[in-house]
Amino acid sequence: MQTTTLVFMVLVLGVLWGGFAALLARSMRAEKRRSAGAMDTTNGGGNGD
Amino acid sequence: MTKTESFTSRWALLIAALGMAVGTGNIWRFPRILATNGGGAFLIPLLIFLFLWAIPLLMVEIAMGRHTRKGVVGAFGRLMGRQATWMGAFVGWCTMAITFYYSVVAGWCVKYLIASATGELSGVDGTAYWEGVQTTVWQPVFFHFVAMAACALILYRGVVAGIERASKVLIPALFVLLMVAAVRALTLPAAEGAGGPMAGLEFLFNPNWSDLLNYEIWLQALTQSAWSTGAGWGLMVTYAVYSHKKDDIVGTAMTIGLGNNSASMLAALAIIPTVFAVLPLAEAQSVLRDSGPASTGLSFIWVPTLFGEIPGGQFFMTLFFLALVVAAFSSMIAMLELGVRIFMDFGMTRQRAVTSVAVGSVVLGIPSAVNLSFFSNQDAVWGIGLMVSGFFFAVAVGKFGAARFREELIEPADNDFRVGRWFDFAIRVLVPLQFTVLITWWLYQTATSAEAWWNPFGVFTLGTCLFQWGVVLLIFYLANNRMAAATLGDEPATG
Repeated sequence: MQTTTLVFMVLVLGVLWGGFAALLARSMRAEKRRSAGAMDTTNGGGNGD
Repeated sequence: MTKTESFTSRWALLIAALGMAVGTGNIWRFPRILATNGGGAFLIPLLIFLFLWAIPLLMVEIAMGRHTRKGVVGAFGRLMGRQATWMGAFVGWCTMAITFYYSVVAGWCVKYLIASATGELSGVDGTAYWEGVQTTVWQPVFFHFVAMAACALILYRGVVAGIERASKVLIPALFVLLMVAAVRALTLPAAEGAGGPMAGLEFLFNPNWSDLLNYEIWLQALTQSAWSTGAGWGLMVTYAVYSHKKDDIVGTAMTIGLGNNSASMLAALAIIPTVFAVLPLAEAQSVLRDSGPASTGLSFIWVPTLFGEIPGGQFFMTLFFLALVVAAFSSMIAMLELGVRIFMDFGMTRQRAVTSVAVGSVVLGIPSAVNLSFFSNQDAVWGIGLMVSGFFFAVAVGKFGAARFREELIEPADNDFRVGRWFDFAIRVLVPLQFTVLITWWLYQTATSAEAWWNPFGVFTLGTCLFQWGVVLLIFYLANNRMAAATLGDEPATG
């Protein structure tokens, strides 16, 4: 495989797959934080929604 | 008044939104469009338009749906003023008109899945088999009905038990199927005289920079980006109605855009190396460019032939068609829900709305199921109509005020990323500019084509598009006040 092809492949897949994976991981973490926060509020006697 | 259901979490909204965006177009359209437009070079404008057209429009849709809590008809009326309800109706009709024939495609996928799993497709001549299926007439109609019934049953169960639960199964399954197919394609042995899977990678990722001077590549990249991500269809307006008040808008739009194109790349990695592993270089490139009747060439004619040539072909062919069915269903659920939400805004119960939309879609899809020219005509007319739909969203935000829209509707959300003033520029300048260039190019192309451009009954003529759009726009314009009253009641507009 030519070097240009390899570099271009890494760049394109890096932006698409890397970006997608990072965004998914970020929203999973945010989701976990939110559920943990909601649980704390409930345990602490909050009235929830 | 009944309370509107919501997705259980932001994660659930994201998965459903990915299901909306990733459809059969990622699998059968993307590899062909890529092959006919310079291979690797095509990926550059595709990425640019992802950020300049698709992501800003997806953000607009999510913000509109969440702010107005109405389907696409009511959302336009509420944001722009009651007199603009017809614009939302046009957007909704474009997507529903696509649904009518999309269900036919989903039906073909179901038929081919069954045929590949039972071995009926093994060793057949792809063209003869396709023609055999089409000439029976009852088969396309029957499988169109099966696809519609399956999706309607999911929608019947509601947002959480239906859409959310189905998406949580379908989307991970789709990505796993595509990954398995891509790994298999890349590890195939090269047939005698064939270039091998690595030649496929060279084709896919070796850009010829001079191709970027060809304006057609840029225009094709924009249309692929617009149609594949579902931006400007009104589908995210619909799903955002079921989102929570603070759900991230910017991150969701970016994840949909990048996730959709990631799925497209996986599909390309599954198909293009397979073609190059089986066929000699020149023939491989010609097969990839063969659109076939109603753009079905690669999936429904060549895939059975190509997979017949590889070790374990039946298994991987079944996997391929299973991925197509999953992709088709996940998008069709969103498309039908758009119609269901509109009818629910008119006061119908979910069950009645689902029945009405499903029965109507089956009936209106039958002409496309029995006549491929009609299918191609609808694909052209309403596919291009989506450009107008996307432009309508930009007009809606322009009237509301792009900066105000960003400050009041987008920024207060619990966004992972801050959206800056580039959004105002993208919506006020770039989206209208892209629309103008694209529509001008299309007008020029169709007006100078061999077919008489004015013919309202031609398959691909300018006349047929203008005639059908005109009739639909006139009907909705005349029915504007009725639709506004039915969906908004006495509510004032927020624009």
